[in-house]
Amino acid sequence: MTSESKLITFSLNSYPSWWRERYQDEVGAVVDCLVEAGRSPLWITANLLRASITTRIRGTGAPAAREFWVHRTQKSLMVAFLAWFTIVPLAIVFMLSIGENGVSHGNTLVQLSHAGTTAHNLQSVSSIVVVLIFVIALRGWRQLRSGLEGQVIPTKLFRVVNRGAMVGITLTIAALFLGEHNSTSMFAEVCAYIGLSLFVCAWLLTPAVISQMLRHGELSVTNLRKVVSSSTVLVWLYGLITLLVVGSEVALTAQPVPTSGASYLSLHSGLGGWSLLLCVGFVGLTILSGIGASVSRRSCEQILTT
Amino acid sequence: MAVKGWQRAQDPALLVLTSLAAGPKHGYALIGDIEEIAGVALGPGTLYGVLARLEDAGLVEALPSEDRRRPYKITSAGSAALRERLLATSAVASIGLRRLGVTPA
Repeated sequence: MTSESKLITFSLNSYPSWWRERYQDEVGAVVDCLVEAGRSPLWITANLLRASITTRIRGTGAPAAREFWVHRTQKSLMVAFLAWFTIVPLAIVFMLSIGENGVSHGNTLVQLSHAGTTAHNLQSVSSIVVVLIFVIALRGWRQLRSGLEGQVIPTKLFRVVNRGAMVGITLTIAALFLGEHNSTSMFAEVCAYIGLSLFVCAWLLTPAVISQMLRHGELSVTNLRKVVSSSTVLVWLYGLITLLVVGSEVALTAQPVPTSGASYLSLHSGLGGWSLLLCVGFVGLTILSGIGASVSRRSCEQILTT
Repeated sequence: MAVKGWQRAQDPALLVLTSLAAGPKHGYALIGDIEEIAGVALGPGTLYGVLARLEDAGLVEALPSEDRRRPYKITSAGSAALRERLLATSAVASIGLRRLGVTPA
């Protein structure tokens, strides 16, 4: 098998299973004829890959069965919601990396220009958006849980994650009080480390719990519509925070500093060069989540017509 | 002066229905016919994306397959949709040509 035919086979296999069952043989025959007629295998591969992405997003040629569309909506909702578990820590990293307004460069305090002020304003707005993202995600989580109530028996993983998060939060809060007295500061530090570790572990395992719940349960159409609209709002908020983060980082680079060659961004942000990676992360997650939300909306509409 | 991308603006669904209006065809024959009538080279992914959508909408119908090839034929709903679309397009075309001072051949 040549590398070109391997590429074509790969692109044919990138289609969803329902499409492959129905069309793979005939498309294979057409591809063979096109290659024989001298069409470029790379052009054929690119065309098939682009079409396979569109097919996955639109669900073209998928079976009309209601269960199929319900599960497709739930799976895509999972994609739309799970981005939250990465976006929120990224937003926290972004906010923690921000210094105070203005920064000293040597002995001189850098005067903020219009760009610097804009950057700080955008950063302030982004913290409001993070709060909104939290609220909408919690609303979506509540809708999801109420929709699956009575259907999904809480698994061992669910119980472990739930208790882990509770104990983690309690220990962290306790550490805040214990830390106020010198006699218990060492104990507070240990509590804080254990509490935060438990909370982070629970956070990392929650996506697995949600996907388990969605795999085993079936939401009603009313609940699906509610969760889909929450996911759409979340995607808009992701888009907004992405714009704010990227805009603020760009504005920070435009803020002049007294020494030539120095950058206000690297002086001001704890992330320095990592800011670019942070922006790429925000953009990527927003796109991924947007695809999930758009597929879930289309699939939900399809359920209503079947 | 030729406008770049002008041909790409042609709707693949319309081209597929127009091609099938002449009789049932399988995928490769459709690609060849469309290239001949409109000068548009449809890729296999694009073609089967359109065929799947038209089949879902009941505008085309798959016939029993011959080996790996499966011919498609236009349905009566597909013919009606094509006729409606072509009449609307031709009305716009004739007005446009009249305004340009061109007499259709």
